[in-house]
Amino acid sequence: MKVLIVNNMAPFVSGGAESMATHLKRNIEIAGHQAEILRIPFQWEPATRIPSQMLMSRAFELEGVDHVIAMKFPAYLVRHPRKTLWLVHQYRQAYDLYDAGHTNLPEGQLGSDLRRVIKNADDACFRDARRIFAISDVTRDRLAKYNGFESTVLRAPLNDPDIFTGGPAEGYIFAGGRVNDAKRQHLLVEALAHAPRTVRLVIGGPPDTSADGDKLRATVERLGVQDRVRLDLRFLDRLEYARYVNGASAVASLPFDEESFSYVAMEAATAAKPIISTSDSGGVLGLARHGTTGWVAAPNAKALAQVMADVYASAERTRELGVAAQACWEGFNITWPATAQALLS
Amino acid sequence: MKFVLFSPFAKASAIGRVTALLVQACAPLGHSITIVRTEQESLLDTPAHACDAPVIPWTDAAAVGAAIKAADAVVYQIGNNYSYHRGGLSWLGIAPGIVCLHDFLVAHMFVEWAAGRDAEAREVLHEWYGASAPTEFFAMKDPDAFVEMASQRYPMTEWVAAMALGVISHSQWGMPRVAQSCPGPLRVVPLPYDAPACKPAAPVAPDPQAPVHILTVGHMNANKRVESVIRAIGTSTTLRERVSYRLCGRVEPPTERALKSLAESLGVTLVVSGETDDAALQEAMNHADVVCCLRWPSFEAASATAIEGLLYGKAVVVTDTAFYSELPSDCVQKISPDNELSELRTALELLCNDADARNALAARGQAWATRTFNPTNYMEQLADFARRTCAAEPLIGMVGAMTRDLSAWQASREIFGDEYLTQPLQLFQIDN
Repeated sequence: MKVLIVNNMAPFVSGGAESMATHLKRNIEIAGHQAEILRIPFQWEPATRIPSQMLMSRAFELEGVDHVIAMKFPAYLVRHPRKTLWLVHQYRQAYDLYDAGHTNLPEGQLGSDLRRVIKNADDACFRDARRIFAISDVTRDRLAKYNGFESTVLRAPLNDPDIFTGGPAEGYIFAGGRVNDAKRQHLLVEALAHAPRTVRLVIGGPPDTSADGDKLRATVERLGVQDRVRLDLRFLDRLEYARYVNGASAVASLPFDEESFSYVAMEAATAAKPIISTSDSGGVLGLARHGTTGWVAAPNAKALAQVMADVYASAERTRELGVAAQACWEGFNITWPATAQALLS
Repeated sequence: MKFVLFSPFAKASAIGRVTALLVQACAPLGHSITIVRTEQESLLDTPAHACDAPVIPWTDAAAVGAAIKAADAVVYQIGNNYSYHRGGLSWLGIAPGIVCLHDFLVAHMFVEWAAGRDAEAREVLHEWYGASAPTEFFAMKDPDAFVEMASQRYPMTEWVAAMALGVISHSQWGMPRVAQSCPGPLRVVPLPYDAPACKPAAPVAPDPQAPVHILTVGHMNANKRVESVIRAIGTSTTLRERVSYRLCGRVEPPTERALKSLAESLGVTLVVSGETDDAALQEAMNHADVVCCLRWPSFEAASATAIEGLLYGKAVVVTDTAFYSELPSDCVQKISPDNELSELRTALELLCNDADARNALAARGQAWATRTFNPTNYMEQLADFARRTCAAEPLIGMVGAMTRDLSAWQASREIFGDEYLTQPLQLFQIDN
């Protein structure tokens, strides 16, 4: 079978979904099929550009493709008679983020019109899809709530579990992955100012924009915590990244209402590291369970500072939580061969 | 190229006469035409223009389908007359093609088309003219008020043009509405016409006291301004004494009585010939000194009668509006609709008193019309236009697909018109 994986593209930005697509391709090929990835650029600023981006996805003629696996809005609007959705993202700013007031859609009638267009296009796409898988409970529930479509949760496997071997704790909390407002690394820096001076923080990963990096550096300066935080704001290769995870006492992942477990949390659990998260972090809470696999704090600096202190309070307890996180993750038995098979069925 | 040309073809149809001229012109250019007659069923057997092309009725679906399949281009002659264009409208929705648009007001045709498809018709009106249009359009019962309203607000030109892959029309004045609605190429080409049995002007010195024959041709509606011509003649001693005014064409009895009564009261010599055969009409044209081709209001893309008057070498008097405004001012006598009676009287007095000026105007008009309203030119342009339309079809399809998606998503007008959508599409703008 010739399988086309369709995903969005923001030039020179690469995150979890891109990695998922790459590994899905490899595993479809291992399963004996041909696979390619079509990445369609998506610009969502200003929001009035979104309809033209949606139409662009609709305009592609996909000849010679037996099966399409589409992942994100608006790339998943692409037309094909045999299309399976592995839903990573809808355009959340038209759904839950809209309701939460975190939207780039303009106020007033135009914003309502854009929201209606996005929802109607989504509904038509979901209606025509052969099957719909969601990458997390949150994604599944959102789809059911806003669009009224049922889906099956199919979590993304970890791509390179073998490098997350774990290891002795070197006395720092690690926050990895893309740096931006939604991932809230700045909240950890603010918490650090309230935490005991023994707490050390490492933030490692590429800022989405130079402004994201500047903002984080400015927060560190403003709070005077330069001696307790290390900002390694660049694209880290996988081994560098794994070294940070494997040496951490705990790993923090506190995105706002994350779709999935998040790669950061899955990698931490694989390495038997406890996970720090916040109560509004969505899918991450599937792995981060307070007092069982790590700590879940209220999304504010003071609450996080207390959690940070707890990490250092008992090394033994911290280690136990990490082992529990690993067991929890392995209990899901999420593997690439099973995932590829489900998406091709 | 092989054309399928949907057209009324009854002898009484001026558009049918145009079609016959195109058939004659196409063979020397290496083209061929199959005519599909488009009159309503009861008129399909009426005597047709003579021509060498195969003629099939629009109701013979198998034959029409086969002709379309074998053709390089499908062309529809469309004017504001449902009984003549019923078959064209019916097929235009099935097999889109080039529309040769003869009227920029097709509201009367739309009204008849709408009978029995009320919901669809209301949707069309709503789509093009807004929410209040259906009610207002169908509420108007007075014919004159309907024309006034339709010409100003609901001409329905957009409805026809939107179904076309490209539109050829015969003057510029109505093209902005066409451009708003037809996604394909547009072109203005002078209407082809002829002057059969035209006699050369007699080379005799004009008699300053000889009678002057003024002719008006066509269905004697109020918009032909016959009453104004009678009043202009009747209020001028010179004109009253020398002019004989003849009407050739259908005239309803009440109108005829009213016109005769007015003429009698003003002392005007009026000859009402009524509907005539071709030979009588040709004789009337040859006999006339002046052809009065006034229209107010005017909706035609071109006037066959005005062109015919020019081709016959007659001094032609027109209203300075619409198609007529686009005629060269040194080839016709133009009358302002705002000062009709006064300007008309002055113009007719001049043409009556100065035979040399009248003949010079007629000669210039005839020379220009012969060059301009030329079937060969039209056929060449139609073939070129068909190639352009064919090339534009994929682009129209693309825009159509996008429009269907946006409509299905219930995009607002503001979203449809957003620069992020429209600006990139300008790459594909069709130059007309």
